[in-house]
Parts: sequence; C-alpha cells; structure tokens
Amino acid sequence: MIRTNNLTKIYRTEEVETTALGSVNIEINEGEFVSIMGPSGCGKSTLMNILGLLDNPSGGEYHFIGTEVSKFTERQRAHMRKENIGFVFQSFNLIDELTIYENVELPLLYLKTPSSERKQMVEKVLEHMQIMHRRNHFPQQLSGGQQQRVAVARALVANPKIILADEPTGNLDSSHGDEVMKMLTDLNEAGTTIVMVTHSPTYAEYGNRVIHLFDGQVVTENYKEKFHV
Amino acid sequence: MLKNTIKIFFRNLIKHPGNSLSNILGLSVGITTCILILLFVQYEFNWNTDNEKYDRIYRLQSMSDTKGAWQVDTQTGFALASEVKDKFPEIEDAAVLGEIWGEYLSSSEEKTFNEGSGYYADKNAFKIFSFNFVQGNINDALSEPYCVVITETMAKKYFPNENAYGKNLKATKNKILKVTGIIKDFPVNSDFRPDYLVSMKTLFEVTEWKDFYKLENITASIYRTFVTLKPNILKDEMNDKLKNFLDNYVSNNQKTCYLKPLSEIHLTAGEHKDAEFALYATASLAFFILILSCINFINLSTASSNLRKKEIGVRKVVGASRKTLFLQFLSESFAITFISMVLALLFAELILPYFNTIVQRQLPFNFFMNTQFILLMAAIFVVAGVLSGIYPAAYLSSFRPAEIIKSGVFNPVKNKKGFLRKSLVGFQFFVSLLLIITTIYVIKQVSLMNNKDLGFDKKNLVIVKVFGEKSDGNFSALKNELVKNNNIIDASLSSTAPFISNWGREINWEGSTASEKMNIMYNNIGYDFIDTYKMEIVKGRNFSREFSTDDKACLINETAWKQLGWDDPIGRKLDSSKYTVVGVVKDFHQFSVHSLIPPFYLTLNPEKLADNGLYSIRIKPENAEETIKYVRAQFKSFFPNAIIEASIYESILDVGTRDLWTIVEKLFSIFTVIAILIAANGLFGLVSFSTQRRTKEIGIRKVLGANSGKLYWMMSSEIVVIFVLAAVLAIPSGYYQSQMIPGAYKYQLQFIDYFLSVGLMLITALAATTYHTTKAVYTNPVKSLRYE
Repeated sequence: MIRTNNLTKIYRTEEVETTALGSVNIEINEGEFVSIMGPSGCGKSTLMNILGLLDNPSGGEYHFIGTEVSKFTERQRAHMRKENIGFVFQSFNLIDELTIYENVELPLLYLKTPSSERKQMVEKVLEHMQIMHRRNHFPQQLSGGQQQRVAVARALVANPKIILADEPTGNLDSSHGDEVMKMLTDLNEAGTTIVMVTHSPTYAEYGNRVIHLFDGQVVTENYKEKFHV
Repeated sequence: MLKNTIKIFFRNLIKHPGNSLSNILGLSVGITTCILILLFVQYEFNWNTDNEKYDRIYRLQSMSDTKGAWQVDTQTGFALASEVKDKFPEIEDAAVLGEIWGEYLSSSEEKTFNEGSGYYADKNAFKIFSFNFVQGNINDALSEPYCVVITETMAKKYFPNENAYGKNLKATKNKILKVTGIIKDFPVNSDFRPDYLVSMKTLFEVTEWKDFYKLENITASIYRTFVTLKPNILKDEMNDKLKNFLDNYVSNNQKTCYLKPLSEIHLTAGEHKDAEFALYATASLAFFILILSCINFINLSTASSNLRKKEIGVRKVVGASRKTLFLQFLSESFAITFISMVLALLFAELILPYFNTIVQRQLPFNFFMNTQFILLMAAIFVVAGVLSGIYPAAYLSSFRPAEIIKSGVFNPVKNKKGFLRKSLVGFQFFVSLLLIITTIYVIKQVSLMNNKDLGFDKKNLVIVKVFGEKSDGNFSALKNELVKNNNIIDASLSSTAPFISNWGREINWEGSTASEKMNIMYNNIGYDFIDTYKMEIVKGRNFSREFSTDDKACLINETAWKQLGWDDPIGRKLDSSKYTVVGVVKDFHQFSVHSLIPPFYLTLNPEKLADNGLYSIRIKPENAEETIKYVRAQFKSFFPNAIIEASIYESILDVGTRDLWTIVEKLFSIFTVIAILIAANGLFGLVSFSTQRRTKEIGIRKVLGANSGKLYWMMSSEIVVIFVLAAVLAIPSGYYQSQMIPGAYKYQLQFIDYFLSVGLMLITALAATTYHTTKAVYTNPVKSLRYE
C-alpha cells in the first residue's frame, strides 16, 4: 500500500538547511498496524505529513496504492487524500464552529456524496463510535476522549483505505487513551490499515510493527513477535 | 456544501462579534459614504436628463477672439435658429428663446408676483425640450400673440381655486396674456426650467427694437438658440461646418459659431471646468473611501487569520482543495459585503435628510426607480467584494495544512514578510494624506473665492429694482431723500452690476484696423457708481459733474488697458471715437471669481438708465433692516405705481459656482475625517493583531533588559517608515492635483499646508497604534511568556 524509496525532506531557509528526513525506505502493506516511534524532532511528523499527502518530499519516491505521488500538485494530493486517507490528530482538530454531526460529515461533503447517503454514513459511524446522542453538540461541550472519538469517526466516515494517527492519545488520560487504542485495534482487525505515531511504547505495542526513527533515518524495524522478545 | 459554508460563516460572525462588527461596520460606513457622495455627484451630472432628446440637444453659441483672449457668448441673434435649420439638413429642429427679465404677472391685485424664469418662444421649443402638457394643445398653444403657457405651480399660484386654462394674466406694460396651455413643472435639476412661455409673436408686438429679426443682426447677443441634431450626427463634424457660418452674414465677422451640448451646460457654464473638476474630485473621494474600507477589511481579515487556522487546516486535511477554500472565503467576503451594503443602504436612507441639508439639494432616494443607482450599487458590491475578498481568500487558502495542524504556525505560501499588508497600510496613509491635502486646498480655495478682492466692496450694498415705472434717469431728487437718512452713505444708478447681469459688445478702438474688433463688457453708470461700489481709479479721473463733456467720456478697466496696449490710455478713443477714455478703474470681478476678469468699459449715460436701471445703495451695517425699510418707503413715494424690490447685494452674489465649491468643501471636510477614522480603525485593528503576535518577543526583550522607549520604537518604527514613504509620495501628488484644478485664480499650497497634513496624519497614526503598543510594552513579561 505504501512504499518509499530514499525519501528525503529538507527544510531550507535563507541561511540554514535542515534535513528532516534522509533516505527513508519503508513499506507498509494493506491491513497492517504500524507504529512509528522516536524522540522529538526525529522526523516522525514530517514522515506522517508526507505519507498523508499533506506535504511533498524533497527527494526520493513515494508510491501510494501503486501510484508514484511524490511530485503530485496540491490539487492532486487533495484529491488522493480525500478518497483514501483518514486522519486522527493528537489535538483532535475538530472545527469548533461545527457540530459533531457536521464535523463528521465534512469529508463526505468534499467527496460530493449525495445528501441521503451522507446522512446514513454519518449516522452509522456516530452510532458505531457511540456518540450519536452528542450529534448536535459542539466540540467544546465534549470531553477529550469523546472529542477523539469524534475525530476517529470523521477519519472513518468515508471508508478510507488507511488511517494515519499522529499521537492520537497524546492529549488523553490513560483510560481514554486505552479506549482510543482499542478502537484503532478493532478497526485494524476489521481490515483498515493503520499508521500511528506515538511516544508511548505501551501503545506502540498495539501495532504489529514498530518503526524507530532517529535524526530522520529509520534505525530499526521491529515486528510484533520480535518486539515482544 | 453551501449549507455548511453558510453555517460556518454565521457561526464565525457570532463567535467573534468584535471582529465581525469591525469588519461589517467599517465596510458599511465606507459604502454609506460612497452611496451618499455618489448620489450627489449623480444628481449634479444628471441635470437636464429628463429631456427625451437630451443627448441630441445643443445650445448654439459663439466664441470670439479679442486680441488673443477668447470670449464665449451664449446669446445669439434672432435669425440664427431659422438660418441654421434651413442651411443644414443635419439639424432636426431649431428654436429661438427670448429671456424675459423681471416680469411681474398678476391675476388680481393681491396675486401679483415677480416671475423669475420666462421666455418668448414658439412651438419649436416644444420639439426640442420635453414639455408635458396637462392642458392645451402643444401645436397651437403659442401660435398667436399674447398667449402664455404656464406651469402647474404657476397655475395654482395665480388661480388657486379655479382652472387657469383660458384665463388672463396681466403683465407689465399692460399686456394681457391668455393662458393657452398648462404644463408640468420642469425638474429642479434642469437648466432650461421656464415657469412660463409667452408666444414669440407677442415679442414682435411689444419690442421697441424692430430690426431684431434681420439677418444683419444675426451675431447680436440677445437670444438663446437651441437645436437638436438628427440621430447619429456628430457634434464635432457639425461644428466644423458651423465654424465660418456667420461670415456669410456679417462682414469682418470675428465670431465662431459652435454647438455646446446640453449635457455640458450645467457644469461648464462659463467654459471654465472647475465645477466639473470639483465633482470628479468628490466622486474620487467616494472611491477612495471605499478603497480604504476594503483595505481595512483585507488587513483585518488576514491579520485575524489566526482565528480560522484550525478550520483551514482541517478542511485541507479532509480533502478541501485550495480552490474550494478560496471560493469559500471569497463567498464569505461577498456575504459580508452584502450585509454591509444592506446596512449601508439603511444608514444612507437615515442620514439622507441631514446630508441633503449639507449639499443643499433634495436628493431623491427612490432606489428601485434609479437604474443608474442600481447599476452603481451592483458595481460597488462587485468592486468591494472582489477587492476585499480576493487577497484574504488567496492568503487564507494558501496555508500549508501540515504546519497548521501540527504546530499552529502560519506559513502562507507566498507571504514575503507581510509585504502586501505593509503596502496596503502605506496606501492607506497615502490616500489619507492626499485627502487631507486636498481638503486643505479646497478650504483655502473656497476662502480665497469668498474673500478675494473683487475690486469693489460687496458688503453693505442694497440693490433696488423698480418694475412698471420709468425713472427720470438723473436720480438726484430720490438720492437727496435717501442720503438724508444717516445710515445711507451713497447711492447710484447703473444698467448692470457685477455678478447680477452683464452686457457685452464688439467695439473698435483708436489704432485698430478696419477688421479688428474687441469683445468687451460694458455698463452705463451714474456719477456716483464708482464711489458707491468703492471702486478705485488707478489712472486719470472718475466721471464728474464738473465736466460737461463726460457724456462722451468713458472709464476702462486695467484688463482693457492692457489688452488695448496703450501706454497712456487717457484721451484715447473707443467705439468709433464715440468715447474718450478719462480714467482707468482697478480691475473688478464681473463674473465668478474663478473666471478671468474681462475687458470692461463704463460710460456715463443717464438717459439709458431710464428703463430697467439698477439702483445700488451703500448703507451702514447698523440697523440694516430699518434702513432697507426706509429705502423701500422712499422708492415707493417716488414710484407710487411701481413694484419695488430691494435685496442685500451679498445674498444675490455669484451663487452658482461658489455654491458648488462650498458644498464640495463641506463634503471634503466631513468625509476626509471619516476616511481618516476608517484608516485609523484599520490600523488600530492591525496593530492589535501584530502586538498579539509579538507578545513573546516583547517579553523576551524585556527580560533581556530592553527599556520601554526601545520597545515603543521597535513596535512603531515600521509604521513610521511606511508613513514617511507614503508622505514622500503624497506631497508631490497633492501638489500636482492642486495644479490640475482649472480656473483663473487658484490657491497655491504652502509649506505649512503640507506640514499640517503630514502632522495631523502622523498624530492620528501614532494615536491609533499607541493603545496596543503601550499595553504590550507594559505587560509583565512573565505573563506574556506564560501566555505564549
């Protein structure tokens, strides 16, 4: 599903050149649950942004679902993104001015899903996430855990091929964190590919593979069995 | 999607009320100003448009070269209308109109009024101007002598409870005029706005000069000639054909005949286009205020983008393309423009009565009846929407989603250190400065016009007109009675008076060739005219009773002296040696102070004053009302059967151009203050956002030892630099603009004017920035760092 070949990302200012990613080669198959770990500033989020088509790499190749996308324009990336990728963020990133229902509905609007179908899809995912009763509330009226459930619902509503979760438990207490991890595991078991960035070795264990980054390079890749050894 | 966009638009409006109110009110104040000013400008530019053939109607007038100085004559000889109609197939219709001055009409003794605007005319006038007949037949209403067509207002005035049609009106010299037609009143903004028309055949019966219709008098300056051109005939081509037309009738003719469009008559009455310029300047004031409001909107929208960053990021992440977001934000700008526009229309309607008092007009606000206005509103909506929306939409939609989502950092794709925002602030400074300079110029120019030395003393003069009875011309007995009153200083009789009426003619002079003629203004005056008006004799002497030959003497003004080119004018002859120059009068204004002073000569010709003379009386300022009563009483005792009209000279002095300039002065003074407040409001908001952004920087600098002065400079230096650049551009632009204003006598901007403009704007700019800067500078650094 995902294959990168010597993927690099260099940030340039007038005087300084910073290499955020240097020759990253990874491959993620459909149905996998991959955790990415590493210290602050190692390039985890940069890698997630590129994998999520939010940013272009400076060099190398990125094959997403069989298509080389590293040179895609913003418009092409937006198109590819909305049809295939769901995002979950540490800070939930719900739009405060929209209700829970409207937040979840948003990806379907950009996909131009017909109204009746949209309603069915949103209600289904809200029920699945057990937040249907909160549909008309605004994000600030919900607890952190509930907000993250809404964020997961929004990521899922368009049935994406992959979910990218950037520290999804970072702003949650342990009980809500466990709840979110349980949700992600259930989704993975139902067939959704998941890539998650986390600082927590415990939550990283939920994945069947852990990629360690350091200074923009992949240093180790541990498969679950190996990781437990 | 549209529903979602609308929802989020309104929720954002409500969520950030201060920001929304600032944006909407800022824009609506700008649009309100624009609406009001443009209503006034539209009104002024739409004089005479109620005439169906408006764009094909022309006044036929002439121009003559008097020793290098072109003079325009808007009056013609009687025969010109019929001659041009016969000779040029391009001319559809031609009408001659004879103005009737100071006519008193009456239906009964108590219903006697002095009617201002009357013309001798025939049915050709109906073919040119749009008359709406309520009663009477358009074809024969003016076909017989002693017929009169009157307006509905006049009909009600003279015959309040009966039908005026078919009734008689008594006119001066015992003329009895039969009402053969009643027409609707002409709109107020019509230059040709007769209250009544008397049949042209009446003129043939009553005029004392029986040769007026002869071809040889075709160049006389007595009647108004109007024509309509057939459709698609070009004015310039027609003017080429008319150029030498008068040569066919008069030997040694120096007049060039040409067409002046009806559309230009109102604003370029004396061929000087200062009124038109003043209106264009006023229209640009409206435009600039609109631009300032739009720039405010742009600056506030982009500066407050912080409030929308998460939404933009999320929308991009879930699949919104840049184009989708661009359209979303553009539609939001249009929605705000729409709301502002609705508010502006409401404000304009509420303010219009007060605005009408300022502009001394009755501007109508029948929005749905005014096609031009609807188009204008549509244009303002599009211009304001696009101007306000394009950049913020492009700016907001350009954020990189990855960065906003992760770090909340703004990093629009193309924002080179806020260059555009700085340029916009600079442009606001530039426009505001230019407006202040222009306002100072207009105030000084109006003051110059009001206080310019007219060459005589306009104060404490009373003008008396006597209708219906002839004076004896020498005026001495009446004058003796008048000056018995201690409050009356002097009195005199003359044919015309400056700014009230004027006579012009062509004359030759001692030393001129047979073909040389000079177009000159003239006046017949009594012995005391120069003293009564406090005019100054700069060479030679005034008329005097001691010289029995003074009935063959004349005075000339300085301009005539200069144009005639005589070293010493005293003793030289004028007008086929009829007059000998005995003195030179200091130049005095006869027309608007914006017009050049024409060459002038004054003759002593009391017998010509016997009919329609003007009495000028200089009084003391004390007890003026009592003095005027005394004057009236004395005149009534000398002319028991006459109608006496006495008015303060200053009240009838040059109302046209000066009036418009005074309105423009008021508009500039009021709306420039509004413009500056709009700019200051924008700056205030902008500084508020920029200080928020720099809170952390200020905190760190304070911790490291920066003092308040340095921090103030750090926060204000950018504004000051932008201001200086704007001032460097605005000062020469203001100077250039003041030089472009047409007119003969113009105020020259002084250093102090520029200094005042720059100082005023700088103080305003610093005042707008000080509040937030001070707040930022004096905030405890611990607090600001924690905040960050």
